[in-house]
Amino acid sequence: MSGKLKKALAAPAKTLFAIFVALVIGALLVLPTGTTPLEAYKELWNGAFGSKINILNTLARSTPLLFTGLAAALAFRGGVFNIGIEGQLYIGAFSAALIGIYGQNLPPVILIPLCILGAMLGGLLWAVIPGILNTKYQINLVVICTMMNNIAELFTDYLCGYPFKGDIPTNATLKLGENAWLMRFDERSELNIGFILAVVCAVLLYILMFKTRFGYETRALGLNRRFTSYIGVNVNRKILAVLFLSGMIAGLAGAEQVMGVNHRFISAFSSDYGFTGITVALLGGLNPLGVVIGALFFGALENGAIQMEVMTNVSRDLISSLQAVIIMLIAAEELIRTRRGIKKVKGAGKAPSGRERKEASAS
Amino acid sequence: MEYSVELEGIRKVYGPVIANDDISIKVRKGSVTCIVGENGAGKSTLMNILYGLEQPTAGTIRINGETVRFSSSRDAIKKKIGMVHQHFMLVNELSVLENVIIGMEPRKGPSLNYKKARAVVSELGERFGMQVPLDEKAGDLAVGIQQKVEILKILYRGAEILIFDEPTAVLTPQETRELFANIRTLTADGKTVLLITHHLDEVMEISDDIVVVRRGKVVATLKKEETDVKQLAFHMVGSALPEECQREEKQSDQVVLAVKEITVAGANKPNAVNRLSLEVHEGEILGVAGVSGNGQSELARALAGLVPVTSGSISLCDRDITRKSRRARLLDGISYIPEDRKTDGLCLQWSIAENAIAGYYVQPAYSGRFGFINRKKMNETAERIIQEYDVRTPSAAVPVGSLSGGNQQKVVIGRETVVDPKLIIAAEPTRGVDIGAVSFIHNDIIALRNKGVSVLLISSDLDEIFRLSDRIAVMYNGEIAAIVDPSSITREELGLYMAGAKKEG
Repeated sequence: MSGKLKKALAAPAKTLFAIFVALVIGALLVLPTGTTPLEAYKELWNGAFGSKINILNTLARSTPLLFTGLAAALAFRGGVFNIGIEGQLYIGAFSAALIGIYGQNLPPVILIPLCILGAMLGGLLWAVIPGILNTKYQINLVVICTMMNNIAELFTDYLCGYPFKGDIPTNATLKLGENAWLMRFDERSELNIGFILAVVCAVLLYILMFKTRFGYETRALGLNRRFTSYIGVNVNRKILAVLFLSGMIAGLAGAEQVMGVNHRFISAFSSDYGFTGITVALLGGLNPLGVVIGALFFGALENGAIQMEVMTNVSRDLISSLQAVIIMLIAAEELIRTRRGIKKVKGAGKAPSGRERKEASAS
Repeated sequence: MEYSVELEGIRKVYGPVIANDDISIKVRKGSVTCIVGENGAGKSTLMNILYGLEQPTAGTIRINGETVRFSSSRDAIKKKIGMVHQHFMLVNELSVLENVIIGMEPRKGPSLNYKKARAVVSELGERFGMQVPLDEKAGDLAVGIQQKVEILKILYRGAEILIFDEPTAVLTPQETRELFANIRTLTADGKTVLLITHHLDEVMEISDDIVVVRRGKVVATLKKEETDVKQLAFHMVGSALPEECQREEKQSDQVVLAVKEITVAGANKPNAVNRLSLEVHEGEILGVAGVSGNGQSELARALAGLVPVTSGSISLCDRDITRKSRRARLLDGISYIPEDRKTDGLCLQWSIAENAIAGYYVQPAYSGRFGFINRKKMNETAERIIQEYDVRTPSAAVPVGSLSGGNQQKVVIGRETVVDPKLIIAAEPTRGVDIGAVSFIHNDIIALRNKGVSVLLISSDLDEIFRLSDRIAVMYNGEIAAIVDPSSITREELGLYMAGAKKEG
C-alpha cells in the first residue's frame, strides 16, 4: 500500500476500530438479557440493512447526523467549540420552512435553492451572536452556545405555536409548498436527495480542510493560536469564519429535515441531532470522510434498534450504551496518541541529516 | 573509591533506533558529574533509565554498590534518587510548602500536620541555603525560585543522588550562579549530583567529572582539570566546529529599518517599549542586548506586526509600515524568528513541509487559484530547507515536534531566510540549541549579513551579541540606554548599561 493511501485510510480505519470495540463491549451488555449477542446483532443488522427499505431508512436517519457531524468536525478542527449546532439547526429549519410556505408559487429550481440558502443564513445568524460575544468580549463559547440552543428551541416553539401556527393540533407550521420538497427515492422511505447533498458536502469539506489555504489556517487555529497569528492570520476573524461556516452547515441539517422529511416545521423535531453530531464528528476523527462512516453507523444503529427491540428482548437503549462506549473509546484513543507522541520524540535524534541523505541518494 | 552510581553496559533500543549503546559510567560519591552531549545524543534517555522512568534493554545499574532494577521512578526514589526535570512539575495553585510535601505529607490524625511540615522544610532550606517563601503560590514565583522548590521537593524525599536535566536552560546568569552555589552546598554535604547540559562554560565551572555522550555512546570520560571547552566541543560534535564565518568589511548608509519614537504596550505595562528609536542599515547586524523583560519581546513583536504600536512610526526602506498587518509585513520582506519557536514559530504537530510555508503560504507560488495549496512546491521548499540548513530528519513528512530543539530552530531559520528577506528580526535565535547548531546558525546569520540583509538580533546571551553584532543597542526599561561599538566596550561596561546604572548622553 502506498504511503499516501495508507495515510488517507488511517482515519477511517481508526473509526472502524472504535466501532468494532464498541460492538464487542455491547455484546457483553446483551448477555444478561438472555438473548445471545449474535441474535441481537443479527436483528440489528437486519433492521438496518435487511431489505432495500431498511437500507434507505438507515441512510435517511444518517442524513441529519451527517450534516451536524460535518458542522462539528469543521468547528472542532479549528478549535472553535461550537456546541450551538442544535440551535443553528432549528433556526435554519425554521427559515427554510418560512420560505417554503410563503414562496410556494415559485418553481422548484428557484424555491429549493432559496430555502437551502435561507436555512444556511439562519444557521449563520444564530452563530453570529455567540461569535461576536466570544471574540469581542472573550465570553466562553460553550456557555453562550448552550444558552442559544435553548433560546432557539423555545423561540421556534413559540413561532410555530402562535404567529405561524399551522393546520394541525401540535405546534407546527403549515405544510411547505410541494415545490419546496426534496425529491425522495422511494415513497416508503423518508430518504431524500438531501443525503446526496450531505455526501457532496463531506467531500467538499474534506477538500477545503486539507487542500486549501482556508483549511491550512483552520487546522493551525485548532492546534496553536499563537502560531496562527504568527503566520499572519487574524485569529478573531478566523474564529468567526469557522463558526459561521459551521453554523451554515448546521442550518442545512435543519433544511433537510423540513424540506425532505417532515415537510413542515414541527416544534422540537430534532432528537438531539446537534449533540449526536459532535459524537459523530469525534468518532470520525474530525475528518469529513470519517464523519460519513460515523454518521452511517449511528444511522444504522438507530434504525436497526427498532427491529431489534421488536424481535428480541433487548431494549433499544442498548444503542445509547454503544454511543457512550464510543465516546469513552475516543477519549482513550486521545490518551494513547499523547503517550505515543512522547515516545516518538525520543527516537528522532538519530535520523540522518539532510546532507547525509543527499549524499546517500547521489551515490 | 566509593561510587554512588555505576552504570554498566546500558543499552536502550526504541525500535530501529539505538538511544543508548553500551554506556558505562561511574559516579563518585559527593561529586558533580556532567553528562554533556548534543540534543538527541541520548543523555536524557540515560538519566530517565537511572531514574526508573525507562527500563534499559540491557545492562546493570548499581547504587552504592548494590545492583538494582527499577520498574518505575518510585523504585528509584526509594533508593534516594531524585530528579529535577527541565519542565517543573509544580502545582501552580498550591503554596510552596504544599508543593514540597505533596504525596508525603506528615499527618496528625486525619489531617495534615502543617506545623511539622513547615519545620522540616524550612530546616532543609536553611541547611542547603535555599530560602523560599513557603506560603506563596508556586505559580507566582520566578523561575529560579521554582527550581529551588523542585530541589527542596526531592531533598524532602530524602534524595542523596540528584539528577538535573538541563537546569540552566531557563535561568538568568544570576540564577545560574545561585544554582551552582546550591549544588556545591549539596555536594559538600555528601550528596551526589548528575547534571545534563550542553553549555560547556557551565560544565567547566561546576563539574568534577565529565562524560561526553555522542550518538548514544560514551566518547570521552574526563576530569575537569584535564580538559577545556575546545576539546569538549570536539568530542561532542565529533569533529572540529565549522570554521567561523568572517564578516566582510562593508559599510552602507542605506537605512533599511527606521523606528521613530515607538511606544508598545506590554502585558502589564502601557509602555513596555517607551518612545524608542533605532535604525538598522543595509548589511548590518544590530544587536539588542539587555536583561530579558526590558521590552525586547514587545519590540520584536511590534516590528513583526503582531502587536500594534500606540505611538510612533516604523518604516522599511523609506516606506511607512506602521499600520501594516503582520501578513503585509512578512510579504514585504520582514522575516521574524520568534523567541519561542515551540509556541509561535512552529506548529509542532504539523510536518516539516507544512511548517516550511508558514506565513508564506499566501504567496502565489504556494496558493494558486481557488486557494488550493500547491503541495509540490511546499515539499520542494521543505526539501530545500532540510538540505541547505542540514536539518536532521528522516523526511519532510515527520512532525516537526519530533525533531530536536536545534533542528526545529533550523527549520524556522531556514523558512525565514530562504525567502530572501530585507530584514530579519532574530529573537534569541540560539536559545536551547546545541552547540553544533549554534555555530551553524551564527555562520548563517553572518553570511546573510554579508549578502546585504539587515539583521536585528535580540539576545540575552552576551557571547552571541559580541560575536555577531556590528553595533550593540542596550535596552533597559523599554528604552535604548546606549548604542555602542562592540570593539570598544567591555562586558562590564555593557553590564552597567543593562542594569540601568549608566545611560548614554
